Parts: sequence; structure tokens; C-alpha cells
Amino acid sequence: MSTESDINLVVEEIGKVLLGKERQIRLALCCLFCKGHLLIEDLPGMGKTTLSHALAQVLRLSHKRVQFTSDLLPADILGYSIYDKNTAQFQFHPGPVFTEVLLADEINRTTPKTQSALLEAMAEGQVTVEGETRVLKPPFFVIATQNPVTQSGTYPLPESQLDRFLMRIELGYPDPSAERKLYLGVDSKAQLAALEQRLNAADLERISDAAAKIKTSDALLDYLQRLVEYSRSAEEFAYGLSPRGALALLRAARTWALMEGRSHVVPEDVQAVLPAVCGHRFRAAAHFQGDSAALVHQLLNQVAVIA
Amino acid sequence: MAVVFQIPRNCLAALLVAQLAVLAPHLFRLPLWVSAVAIVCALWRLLLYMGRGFYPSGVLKTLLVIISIVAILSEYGNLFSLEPIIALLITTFALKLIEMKSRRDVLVVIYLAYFVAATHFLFEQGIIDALYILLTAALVTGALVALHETEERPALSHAFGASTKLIAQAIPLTVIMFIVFPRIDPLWSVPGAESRAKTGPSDSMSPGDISNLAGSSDLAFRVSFDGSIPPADQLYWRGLVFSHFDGRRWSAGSNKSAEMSWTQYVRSVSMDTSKLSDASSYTVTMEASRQPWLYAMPLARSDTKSVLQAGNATLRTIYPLDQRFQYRVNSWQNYVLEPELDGYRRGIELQLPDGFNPDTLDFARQKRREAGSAAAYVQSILRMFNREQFAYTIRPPKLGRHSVDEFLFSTRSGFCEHYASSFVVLMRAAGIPARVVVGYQGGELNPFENYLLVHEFDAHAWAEVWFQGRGWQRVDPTAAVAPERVESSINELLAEEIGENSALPFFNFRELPMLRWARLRWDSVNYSWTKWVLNYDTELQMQVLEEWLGQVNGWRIALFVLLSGGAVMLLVALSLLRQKVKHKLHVIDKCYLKHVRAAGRLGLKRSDGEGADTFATRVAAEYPELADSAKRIAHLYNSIRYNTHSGQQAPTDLQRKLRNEVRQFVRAAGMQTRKATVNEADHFAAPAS
Repeated sequence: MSTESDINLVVEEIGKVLLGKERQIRLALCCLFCKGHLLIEDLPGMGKTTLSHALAQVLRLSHKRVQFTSDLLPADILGYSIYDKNTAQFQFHPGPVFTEVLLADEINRTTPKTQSALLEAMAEGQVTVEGETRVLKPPFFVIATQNPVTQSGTYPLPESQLDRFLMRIELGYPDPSAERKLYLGVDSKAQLAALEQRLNAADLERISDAAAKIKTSDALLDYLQRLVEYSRSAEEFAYGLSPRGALALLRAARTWALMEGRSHVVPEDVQAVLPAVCGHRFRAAAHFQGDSAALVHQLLNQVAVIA
Repeated sequence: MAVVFQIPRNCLAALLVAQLAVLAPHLFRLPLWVSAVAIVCALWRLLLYMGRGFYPSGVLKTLLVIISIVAILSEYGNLFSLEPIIALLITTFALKLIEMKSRRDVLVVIYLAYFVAATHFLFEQGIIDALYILLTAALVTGALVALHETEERPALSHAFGASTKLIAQAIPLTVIMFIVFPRIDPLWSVPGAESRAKTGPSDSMSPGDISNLAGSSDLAFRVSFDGSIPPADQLYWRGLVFSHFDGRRWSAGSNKSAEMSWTQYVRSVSMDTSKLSDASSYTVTMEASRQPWLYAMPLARSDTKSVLQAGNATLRTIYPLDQRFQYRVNSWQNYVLEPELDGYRRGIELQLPDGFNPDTLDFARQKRREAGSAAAYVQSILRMFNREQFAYTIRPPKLGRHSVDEFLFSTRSGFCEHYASSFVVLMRAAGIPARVVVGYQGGELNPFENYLLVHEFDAHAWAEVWFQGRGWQRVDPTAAVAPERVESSINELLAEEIGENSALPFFNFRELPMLRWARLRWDSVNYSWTKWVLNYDTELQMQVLEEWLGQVNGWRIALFVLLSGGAVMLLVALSLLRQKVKHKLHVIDKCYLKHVRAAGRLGLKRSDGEGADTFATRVAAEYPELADSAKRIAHLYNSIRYNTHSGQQAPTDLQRKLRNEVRQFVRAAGMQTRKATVNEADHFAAPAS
């Protein structure tokens, strides 16, 4: 079976619980295939948690869920040592971070201190607790959800932490027909549990390797550089895309091309992943009357594909 | 809450810099207290800028204005001439700084700054001045730019950069407008600055006057000849003729008031102009002398407006020269001036005061008897100056009441005015009509533009002697004493004396060749500036335009403005375009874009950010007939451009296929277009049933 049809099956399976959101599902999968962490941002009740659960379920990855609250402490995520009377020793109780998929719900509800506890795990794939560094067994994904920062009681993630997420996606309201189906549907909890496994950890590795072999021609790299250059020079942008951001964009575009069944990246692939990969990395300059979505829109419209 | 306007800090800083630059040239001209007021106001504003200090109250402002007006009145005595008005303008300009609060106030100060900058031209019009005012214009414009900038641009240099760019772009258009815009004579004349000293010879001459001038290295005038420059011994620039002697002082006497046109003049002296020949034509550019007399070689005729002919064959202007003045002259060498003198005129030209110089009178009569003829007498006097112990010096001893007696028989050393004066007295005592002429002699050649520089130290006095039938003849007694004076410059002759008092450091004959080169080069630049910019009047404009356009009419001028203005715009456009189009399109891209244009003719416009597949999908949706072709093109294009590793080339047969596909698409699209037009035509032709 080809990679493309494999992936289509996964999308179809998740589509059973998250109706009418094929594009978002594909982006989320793309992010996982890139071995990147995913941030899902939307209002409460839009299906963020459902998507993250479904992803873990179809891939049959061990997953743990942490509901982030304002009184959550780093130890609650990383784990802690407890003195055992029987052995007369401290014994380490690993926290929820020791898993394959960590679902960090409402990550921006917690304090920066706890947010930063995730930093090392996300960036290095290891955690240091009480002076001892423990490696997290790959695969390790963080799927975090957050409410829009404009809502009250949130601590916006700092730029450094946002940068650790390969993609940020928004779900948005479902279209009317999908929503009607939702009303008629059965218990979603049972549905989630009923999702079949479509890929395993080995498949993930295979897809990741295949994506690295996707061709990127000079013309495409030129286009990528024009995009990067525009974000750095246009005065609407407070700052441009970093080299890490550009690399992330290229990696995601490769995976997207693979998911589209192509052996090479075309500009459309870059354009498809750019809003998710770059949206949270941009900030508008103070005088620009628009948000980062407007910046992405401008970037895609202004930078010529053929030049 | 009402929004309070805050003057942008950048704008304030820029304005202070600009104001300082605008005021700087005026500060040296104005009374010290005006400069002090300007500086105090700037400091006051600086305090406000730093968040300290207070804005003046209404009473204080009124008081300041009244004090300023009173101070200016007491300084100058009146308010309505150039300098007090400028002083008033600058005082108010400075005071406006401290009451500036709203945007409107800032604009007033900025516009006032432009005006004050322009007033500098009332005093100076040199090339350096023009460049400096251009610089201040850029600074003031910088303040204007800063006023309209948001707070987020912190660098002040940004505003100045923008204004410099603006000014630089305006320069070519300014030059074009300067060349073609009609030169309008001023509607009123601005009174000249009064404080300036008059320069050059005055309307009378007493011993010591000319030697004072010899200490000045200021420029008197420049002369550029149409043909070759005459030899040095012909370069006698006649300016004033003195016929009346009061024992010490020579003046014009009753001869001075006759001023007329050339025709009137020719009639009044009944001259036969047909005999005049061998004219040399030249242009004289006088520096502002604040005197009405002009200088020219005899016999001079000038047709320049506002130049008049005086009765004694000199030239005059109607008003004293407050600024540089340029006039054209024709001079003839073979003239005969007043071949006959009537009794009245003879009386004037033989006048001598009673009771002065008795020894000279006796000596003259005796010599005249010995000589026989008048011509021989003139020769014997000149020989006396040449052979006997007469000295030529810039610092002669002081003379008493009988100045000519003392000079001729005891001191025997003097400057040109002593020789001219005593020579004329000797002539008149012997019954030969004679008079003193004052002007300049010689000049320094500027080899770069081939014109003569005549300086104040070239001022000279000589004599004219009248002979029956031959009229007035020039006799230069100084030439008899010191022939080198006429042949070379006074500096070389009197180098030692001048070197001692070192009043003329740059004109020392030991001047370094480099310095001399630089001085002459600079002067030639200045001269061109005067000639082509300051004196660019209607006449010169017509001349220039005729030379460039062949013929001056509205059409040609309009065309010239359009073409030259268009050329400037084109240059700007090209430089902008060059920034945009950095490299050429790839060959495959060009081919692909052909089909995009064909689709465009069908109303499908591709946006810059649209990929090939996306576009093909759109084409397919709109025109199902073209769907396959469009999709094949997108596929081929993507294969060639994107299905390669970096650094690799796609196989050439794909390129050929793409070309074919594009050709077919263009043809098919063309048919679609025609069909669409036909359908439309049918639609319109359908009868309204």
C-alpha cells in the first residue's frame, strides 16, 4: 500500500469523530509525521481535545492527558521522588510527560513556570528532575490546546515556547451539514474508543524517512527564500522568519507533498502548510492594523511564485 | 478626554537644527542683541523640549514683541528699510519658537524658516550661498517630514534622508524651470543694504585716495572680450573725469550733470560716427560698488538698459549699483573726442585755483616757452618725470597747502594721483587744456575662462590733454616714472612695499603657483555663476533658448519642458525599475506565462502568489474545454521546474512538450475568445421580442 492511501485511511478514520475538518486533520498528521509538536488553538468546545485524542488513538500511541490549570506545578508534569520506607530510598515517580503523546490541555491557563517545564522536554526530548536527566523514549509528541490569548485568565505563551511548536492550527466552526451530523451522532466517547488503528510507530518512522527524500528544486528554494526575505523586509512584520522557521516550513512542505502523493514539492505545498507553520511565528509591527493571519495572507499574495 | 497635540520630538529637534542653520548667515549681519534673542529662544525651547521650563504667558509675549520693536527702532532709526525689516523678521521668527504649541504653530515656523532662508539672497548671491541655502532647505524640509512622521521612527536621520532625497529629486526640475520659465522683472525693488561701504574711486580725488585703494584686493569688475584681449597698455578703464581743482581736491565740477543716450551724446559733441572703426566688444560685470559710475575703455558705447552716456564720454547707471551689474560695451580706439573747444569749455578745462602752487605756475610758463610747441612741452614734462629723481611709491609723504609745489620740487615721490594731478596742473598753467581721469588700469587674465579680473588695487589716475584738431589724448605720467606699472601688475612692482604691510597676502608676487591656480579657478567658477545664473535675464534666456531650440515659440518650449521633464522622470522610473527587476525570468517561466496571458484574455487573471496547479484548477472550472490542456501544462511545468533535485536540470523533451502544449492552449484560448465575442455580438443583435 502506498503512503498516500495509508494516510487517506487515517484521515478518514479521524474524520469519523471530527466531522468536516479534513484539512485540519491532514495538517495535524503532517505535523506528527514531521516529528513536530502541535498547538491547537480555538475557543472551548470546538473539538480540540477530540482531535488530539483521535490522533493518539488511530496511531495507537500511549498517551497521557494533563489539564493545565493556574495552580499546576512543574512536578505535576515531570514527576517527583518519594521516600520509600520499605527500601529506605527515594523512588522516582515519573510524571505524565513520560509517554508517547502528551495531551496538554489549555496550556495557556497555567503559569509560565509550569509552561517552561515543558520546554526541555519539547526541545531536547529529555527531562531533568532533581539533577538527574532522563531521556524520553521516542516517539514523543506534545499536542497542546489553548484558548485564544484574548480570553481572560490566560498566560500567553512566550515567543520562545511558541517556536517549539512546529504548527499551530485553528479548527473553526464546522459547516452546517457537518454540524447537523454532529447533532444526530451517537456518544462521542464511545466513538473515540472505537477508532481503529491505522498506523503504528514503525509507519511513522517510514513516512518520516520518505518525506526526507522528497525533491526540492532550485525554483522551489528560490520561492522559499523570497517568502523568507519578504517577511524580513516588509514593514508590516515586526520581525521576519528565523532560519529555524524556514527549515520547519520546508520540512512541513516536504511531508505535505508526500501526503499529496508527489515526489517533489510544489509552491502549493508550501502555501498549504505556511499558515500553520508560520502563523504563530509572526507578529505584526505596531503600526500594522491586522493580526498574524492578515500577515500570512499578505505574504502569500504578495510574494510571486514565478519571478 | 480631548486629544492634546504633542509636537513630535524628532520634529522639534529637526526644527532647532534647521533654524540654527537658517539664522547662522544672518547672525553676523544683525546687531548682537538679535543674535542673543535667537539663541536664548532656542535654549528656552530646548528646556521645554527636555520637559523643563514654562511657556510664556500672553502678557509676557506682548511685552517681548513691544520690546523687540522698540529695540529695532532705536537701533536703526526706522523700520522700513532692508536691515530693520530683516531684524524684525528674525526676532519674531525666534520668538515664535517659544510659543509654538499646536501643529499649526509648527507649520508657521517651518514656512517662516523657508522665507528667512530665502532672505539671505538679499545680501549675498554667491555660489556658496546658493549651496548653503539649498542645504538649509533640506534641513527645514526634514523638520516638515518629521512633523508628519509617527513616533515610531526614532532616527532623526530618517527625516533628513527623506528630505535630502526630495530636494535632490527637485533639483533637475528646478533647473528646467529656471531655464524656461519667463523671467519677470521685479514688481518693486527691494532697497539695498545700507550698511555696505562704497567701494572704488569716489566722486573726487585728493592725494592718498588711490593709494588707499591699492591696499585692497577686492574685485572691482570682470571683463570678458568677444575677441582677443587688447595689449596691457590699452587697458585703461575710464570711469570718472575730473576737471575742477580746488588746490587739493579734484572733482567733476560743473561738467557732471550731463547724462544722455548715445544718440543724444553723438549729437551734443557733433561726432562723426562713420569714421569709427576697429571696435572691440566686451561684457563687464561690475561688483556692487554702491556708486553709479561704470568703467570702460574709450570711446565706449553701451546699449544695455539703464546705462547712460555722460558728457565727458564716460558711462553711468541711473542708480548706484547695489548688486552685481553686467553691461555690454563697444569700444573704438580711433576716436576723436572734441576736436574743437569753445571758449566756455576751454575755460573749464584750464581752470586753476588762485593762490595755490605759485612755483609750479612759474616753472610751467618757463618750460612752455623753452619747448616751443604744446606737444614738445608735454614731452619735456614727461622726460622730466622720467630722467630726474622721481619715485613711485604707495606711501608718499604727506603734502601741505601747495601740494603740487611740494611734490614737484621737494618730496618728489608719489603715487599715480600725485603724478596725474601735478601733470594736469603743469599743463593748465601752460595754457594747454587738460584733465584728470580716474579708473582702473590693466587686469589679471584668468586663463580658464579667458577673461580679465580687475581688482581695487588696479585703481589708477592719469591725464587727458587736449590738442587742437586731435581732441583729447591720453597721457599717463605714471608710465614715464614707472613704465612697469602699465606693463605689469602693481603687485609685482610694489611687491616689497606691499609685502611689508602684507595687506594682500594672496596677491603677493611670490604667490605659490598652486594657490594662484586655485584662486583663478575658483574665480572662473564664480564668474560663470554670475554670468549664467545671476544675470540670466529675459535677453540671455531668449539667446539660450534660441540656441537650443532654434526658434523660440510656445510649442517648442512646451515640447522642451515635456521632453526634459520626461527624461528626468524616466531616469527616476528606470532606477526604480532596476531595483525591482533584478534578474531575468527563467525560460520555462516565460513559456508558462504565455499561456497565463492567453487565459488572461479570457478574463482569468492569475495572481502573483498563485501556483500552477491552483491556476489550472481555476481555468478548468471556468472553461471545461481548456481543462485538459491547462492541467497538462501545469503538470509539465511543475515537472520541469519542481520535480528535480536542487542543481539538476529537467530533461529537454519535457520542455519541448510544454512548448507544444502552450502553443495549443494559446490557439484554443484564442478560439474561445472569438467565440465569446461572437456570442456577445449575437446577444446584442438579438431582436427585442
